[in-house]
Order: sequence, then C-alpha cells, then structure tokens
Amino acid sequence: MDDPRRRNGGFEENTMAILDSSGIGGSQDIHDDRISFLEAVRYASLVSESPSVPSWNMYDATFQILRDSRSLELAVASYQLLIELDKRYPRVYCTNSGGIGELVFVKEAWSPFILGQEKSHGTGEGGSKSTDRLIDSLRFSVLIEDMAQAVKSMDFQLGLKPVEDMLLFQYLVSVLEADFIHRHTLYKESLNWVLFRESMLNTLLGSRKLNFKSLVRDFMSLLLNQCQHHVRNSLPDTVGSCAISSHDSAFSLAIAFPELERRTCSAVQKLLTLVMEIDVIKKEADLLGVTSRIDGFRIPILEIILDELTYNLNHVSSFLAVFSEPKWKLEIVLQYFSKYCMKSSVRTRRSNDTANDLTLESVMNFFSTPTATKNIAKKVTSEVALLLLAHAFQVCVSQQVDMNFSGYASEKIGGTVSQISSKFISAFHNLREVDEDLEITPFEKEALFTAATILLQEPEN
Amino acid sequence: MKRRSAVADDDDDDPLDFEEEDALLNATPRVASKRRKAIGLDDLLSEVYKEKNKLMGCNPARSNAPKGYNSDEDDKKTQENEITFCKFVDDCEKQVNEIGSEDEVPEWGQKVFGLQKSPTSLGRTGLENCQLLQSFTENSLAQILGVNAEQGETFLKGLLMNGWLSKLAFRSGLVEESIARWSFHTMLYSLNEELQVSACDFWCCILQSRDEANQPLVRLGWYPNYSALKDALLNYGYLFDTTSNCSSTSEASSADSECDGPPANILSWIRVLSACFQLRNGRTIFSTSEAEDFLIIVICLFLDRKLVGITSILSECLQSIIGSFSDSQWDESCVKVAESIAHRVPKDLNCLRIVECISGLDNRNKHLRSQLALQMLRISFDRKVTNAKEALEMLKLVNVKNKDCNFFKLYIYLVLVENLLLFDHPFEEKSLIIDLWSKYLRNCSTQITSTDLRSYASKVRNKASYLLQNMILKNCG
Repeated sequence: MDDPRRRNGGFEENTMAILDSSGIGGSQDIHDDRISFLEAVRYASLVSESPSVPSWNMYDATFQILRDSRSLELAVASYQLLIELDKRYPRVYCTNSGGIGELVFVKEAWSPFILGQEKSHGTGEGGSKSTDRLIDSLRFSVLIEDMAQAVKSMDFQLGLKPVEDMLLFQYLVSVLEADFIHRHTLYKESLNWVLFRESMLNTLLGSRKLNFKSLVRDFMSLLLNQCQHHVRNSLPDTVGSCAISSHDSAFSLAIAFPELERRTCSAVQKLLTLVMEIDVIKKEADLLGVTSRIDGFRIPILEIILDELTYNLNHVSSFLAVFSEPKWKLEIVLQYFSKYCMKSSVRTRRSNDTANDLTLESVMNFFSTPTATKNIAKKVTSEVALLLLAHAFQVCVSQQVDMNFSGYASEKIGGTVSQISSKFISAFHNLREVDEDLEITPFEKEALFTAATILLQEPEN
Repeated sequence: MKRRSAVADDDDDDPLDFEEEDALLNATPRVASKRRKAIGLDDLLSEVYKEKNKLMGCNPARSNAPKGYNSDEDDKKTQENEITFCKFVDDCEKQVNEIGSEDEVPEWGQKVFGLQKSPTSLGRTGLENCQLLQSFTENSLAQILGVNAEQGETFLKGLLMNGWLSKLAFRSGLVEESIARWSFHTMLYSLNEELQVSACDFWCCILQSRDEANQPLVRLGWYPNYSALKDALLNYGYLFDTTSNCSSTSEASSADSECDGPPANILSWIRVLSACFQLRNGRTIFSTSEAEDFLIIVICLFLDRKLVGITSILSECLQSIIGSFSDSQWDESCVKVAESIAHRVPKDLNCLRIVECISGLDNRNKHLRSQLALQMLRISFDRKVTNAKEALEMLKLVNVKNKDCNFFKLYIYLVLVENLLLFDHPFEEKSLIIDLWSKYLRNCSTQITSTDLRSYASKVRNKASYLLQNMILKNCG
C-alpha cells in the first residue's frame, strides 16, 4: 500500500487552490470560494465513489473556517462538514478479534485538539502555522469562559461570535465523546484504567493550564443562564437588539439561536456526565490500586457541583430544571441528601462508603414520619427537600422511557414506580405538617399530580 | 487619512487654505453655520472635489488640485469649465459603478415566506373534560394543590413544559385525543418559545419511541396529518405553494414587512415533520403525493436565507422524508419532485444552492441531485435536453471565445452538469460522456485567458480546471 498522503497530494493541491485568494479582493468572492472549498472537500471525502480522507491541511482549513467564519452560512456548513467527516473517519475505533477487544488509534488522523507533549501536530505537514488554531487546555478554558461571559451579560448581543463559539464547543464535545465511548466499551471488558488516563478528556482537564474549578463554575452558569434565556427569548426582541445590519442575517440568527443554545446546553450536560463517569472509573481504579502519582489529583466534579448548589440555594431549582440527564440527576439529589442526612442516620453506620448505598426509596423513608421529616427539614429546609424529592421522582418516572439507564435505575431507586409515588405523596404530607407555610412551586404540584395519577392507573399492591 | 497628511505636508505656508480643507473633511456643523452666508463657487467646486476624492479612494495626488482654485486670481471661465469637467468625470464614475453593480450577481436567496396569517383557532378542545384532569380532581390532593378543571389548560401547559406530560403518556401508553390536538396546536402556533419547543419535544419523543419489536410505545387518540401541517405552513406565510403560481413570489419579494414569516415555530414544524416521516410505517400518516409535496416544500425552505442557521435540521428532515419512500415509488417520485422544483427555482445561484442542499450520501440522494440538475438544465435549454449526453452537446454550443458569452450562465451549467454526472449512467454511455465532458472542460480551462476580466470568466476557468484536474487524478489512481 502506498502512502495515502502522496496519493492524495494532487487532490489536496487542487482543492486547496480553491481557497487561494490572491488576485481577488471582494469579501463576497472569498465567501464563495470558501463555500466551494467546503463543498469540494465534502465531495472528495464523502460523496465520491472512491472517497479519501482529507489531508491535514484540508482539515485545518475547514476548522479555521469554523473559527473565523464571518457568516452564519459558513459557520454552519463547516461545522456540519467536520461532524460528518468525524463520523466517516473516526480517530479511534474498537476491533474485536477472538473475543478480545482492542482499540485502534488512527495515527495519521487529524484532531482539533493539541494535547500534551506526545502529539506534536504539524511535524509532517502544516508547520507551526496551523497549530496556533488548534485547541489546547488553555484555549479550551478561554472558550468556555467567553461563552459563560456572553450569556451572563445582560445586554446580550446577538452576533456571530457566540454562534461560532457554540458550534465550536459542540464540535469539540462530539470529538471528546467519540474518544470516550470507545474507551468505555473496552473498559467494561478489561477494567484497564490506563485507557482513561490517556483519554482526550482526561488529558485536557488534567493540564495545569486549566483551572478545573472555575471551568465547572462556567459550565454551571452556562446551564443556569440558559434557563433564564428561555424566559426572555422571544423573536421580535432579539431581532430588535441585534447589532447586525442586514435584516435577513439578523433574522436567521434569531431563528437559529434558541436551537443552538439548546444544543449547546445538552453538549455541556454531555461533557459534565462524561467527567462524572471518568471520576467514578478513577475511584474504582483507586480502590484497585492501579492509579499512581502521574494521575494527579482533580476534585471530583460532583463535589464541586454540590458545593456550588449548597452555597447558592436559589440555583438548585434552575440547575435541576435544566440538567435532565436522569442517572446523574438522581445521583446529585442522592448525594445532596447523603451530605446532610447520613451521619445522623442509624442505618448507615455500617460502612464508610455509605453514599453508594443510598437509594431513592431510602431517601423517601427519611420522610416517612413527621418527626423524622422535621429532623431533615431542619438541615435541608423543607422547600429544598420537596424540590429535590420532586426532581428525583421525575427521574424515577422516566426510567421506562430511557432504556439505557434502566439497569442502573432499579438499583438506585430501590422500589417500583407506584411504591415511590405513594412514598413521595406521604413525604409531601409530612413536610406540610412540619411546615405549614410550605410554598409549593408549579413543578412540585405537577410532580404530585403525576404521582397521584400513576397511583390511580397502577395501584400499589 | 492619506489626503489629510498630504494636505498638511504641502500647505504649511498657507494656513487658511489648510483650515478650509480640514473643515471640509470634518464637515462639523459649527463650521457649516459659519460658512453658510457666503457660499461661493469656490465652495461648490471644493464640494465636488470632496465628493470625487471620496469616490476615488482619496488619491493624494488629486488632493493638491483644489488648491489652485481657491487662490484669489480667479478666472471665472476656467472655473466653469472645470466644474463641467468635474461633473462629467463624476457622471462617468457613476456609470462605471453602475456597470459594475450590474455585473454583480446576487447571492442565492428567495423570499419563501410572506405575510403571516392569523392561526386557525383550535375550536372546542374539550380539554376541561380530558380524562387526565378529570380523574385527578376527585383526588384529595387536588384541593390541597388547588388544581381544578377550569384552569386545566394552564396546568397542562406546566405539565408540558416541565416534561411531565410525556412521562405520563409513557406510563399509561396513551395520549387522549383532546390532549394530542391541543399540544400539537400549541407547538405550531404558541408564541411562547419555551412552551412550543416543549410541545415539539413531547411530540418528537412520542412519535419516535418504539419497543424492541419496533412497535410504538404510545397509542395516540389523534395523529398529526397532512392538512394540519400544511395549514400551519400556509399560515406562516409560505409562498412557494404548488397550487399557486411562482410569479406571485417574485412580485412579493420587494418589500419585507415586520409581519413576514416564518415565526420561530418553523423549527418545531420541521422537527415534527421529520419525526412523522421516521415512523416505521410513515405511510399511514402521509400518502405518496403528500410525501412528495413535503419533499418539495422542505427543499424550497433551503432557499430562505432566514433559515440558513438551521440547515442541519432541514437536512435531517430531508433525509427522513427521502428515506420514507418505498423502493418502487422512489424513481417516479424523484423525477416528479425534481421537475416541480426545477420549474419554480430561478436559474441563478439559487439552483446551485438547491442542488447542494441535497447532501445525503446514499444513492437516493445522488439520484435526486442528479435528477434536479438534469431538470434544471432541461429548462435552461428550452427542454431540448433529456439526458447527460444531450446536455453536454448543448454545452458545446456555448463558445467561450465569443465576446457575448454569458459566463455566469456557463458557470451554472458547469456545476449542474457536474452534479448530473454524479449518478451512475449506463456503462456503454459512460466513457463517451466522460470523454465529451473532459474535452469541454479542457476547452474552458485553456480558451479562457487568466486575464479575462469579464464577470465569472475566471470562476468558469477555475471550476473547469479543478474538475479536469480531479478527473485526471482519478484516472491515474
């Protein structure tokens, strides 16, 4: 087999020539050329009868168009192309020979990340010019900070920059996720921690250039602010406050923006859950004694999130409203309760690692009598307790819908849906007894309604 | 900036002159009021020069010129001559600019949506009597929570927005008719962004759910249908309707009013349409002709620049529609759809946008792309073209050496033929077609000189040599 790069040399040169802007001045021409370039890469690498993987230069150019698109059309087109290319040409995949799975890393594969020392992008082609566009830990945290700042500011301006940032972030998360998933598949067989030590996500977050705690805070404020955006995001307003001259492009941004925000929000959630998964795996590895000093120390993300929520009680409601991933939502609620309630509880004295034993059912049992309820309400406040129970109940109800998580769910829930429904309702009654002025939010009302309706349909045996 | 520094350099000995120059450049209101009383010919002339210099990109050499006319020994006649000359130059420049802008090809983009209509009201929903709320009101909790049937809709909105409604639907395996109709209507018409998006999530989630045996998890008391979705689109102001003529769209394209569609709900409309077509037995919802109509509509939506940011959602929808046809229907429907679109789309950059938006990788996509290209070429060549070979022969008649050659049209043809050739052709024809095509491309890339400044000449040349290069590389490999 000959070198694929040499075989494609002609194609590359021919395609890159489309971007050659010497001799033309108009920005419209540059725009047109970029569109033709993306279309040409698409054709050669995906559509053609004998597709070939794009060269690094072509990848770099596509990535650069995404980062500096100058038009919504280009931003969207380059993002879409990168996603499609990743699907067609994965950087890592699993093989299974004789029952033993193995990870295959495509060495010559292009990546938007430049992580650690082992990967020096640009040794072969491109040179240093291309590397300063790629993402390292520092640039990653700056990107997140920019996004968090953008949504925080009150006079939010609808512009191209936040759109580019959001698309870039979504793309990066999809790259990290693809890398993670293959490692995770193999880990389930081998329990080999090294797989994750070397994962892109772990390397990215392990860097000293990045302040993990403030990164998580930025992620949280992205989620929290998205919740508020929902409320004030209506089309005419956004168009009015828009800093873009052309009516159409203002309009097209306004139409695309809510969806972009939604997708960004789920990308943030995706990333948070990936980190949570890595934390769990690392803990397992710690127990097995296979971690070492080179793994460094990073505070588990769940602890940071719980701390943030404890110190800003008014964030609990909006955070849980946006954070919809059921498994980890339940985990957050359970850990929140365990933080407050476990030490005084008799049934937990048996082991050191009690948090893992806590199920939704046992949490509901904390509220089974007015006296017990009073004890907990003192620590957590009755409002927060009801809110947390309502959210945990929602996870419990959704377990049938989300197939992937049913195995885990029955373990952590510890009862049938109708059992939990009835315990939830009696917990509510007890909370009201303890605190007569208990304010019930619409969300909690709806949760109780759902519990009552479920009991009507499937009575508890 | 250049002009100012030039003036400053040679006018050190003449401060008054410099001052005047500067005032003209800045054109502050204070100076204007001071000068208002004595506007002479000098001023007029300077104005003219100022305008001209702006147009000329502030040529420093020219900035010296007005100096002479501001001097005191005025010869009136010379001045008048100069003014007429300046006006003449200005006119020429204007004309040149106009020629330039005539050559400028407009970007792709069509006005797909016009004035929005007020939504059809849902009529009696029967929400108050829905089973879900009725059974609850008898519960003791209802009083504590203050939920009663009268405020049923408000409460249901909450259930919808916070995701409870879908959970309840999955638990009971049923969505009753009144709730189905109401939530669908809410999705299509509600101005509350969060509410309509939640309603869309609800519907997509339910339509796409299926168990291991590929059966839907939830029974629906009411199914979305063609007319509900089509009516909504017409209410959003959709102009490209099959039943009306396309001439109306070009007429309406001039003014862009505040009430022009589409509303933000269009996104939900696209997402739910996509979900409807992903139903295993999609045909129970839409007939073949209805599916064809939606395929045409979705392709036309790509032409609206307002929707450029949601191209990926449009593409997903396009793919689920294309995938819903049965193999036996596809060939016929593909031709029908391509013909209908080719009639409606102007033969400019818009038709390239259309062809490029068919972005799937499977054979059906290539087929549709190639068929669209063929139909557009067919209309461009007065229906004299029925296949790739004939299209290439018509193309041969376009002489690039001819002074009147329309390179813009040629560029469109090149891209269309490139796409036309995507789809497999009978083997015996294939070599002939490739031969014709490469000969033509060679002609274009060699006969158009790189110094040809006519609009699109260089684009045709570059495109041709790009395609030719790739063909050669392919044959070598």
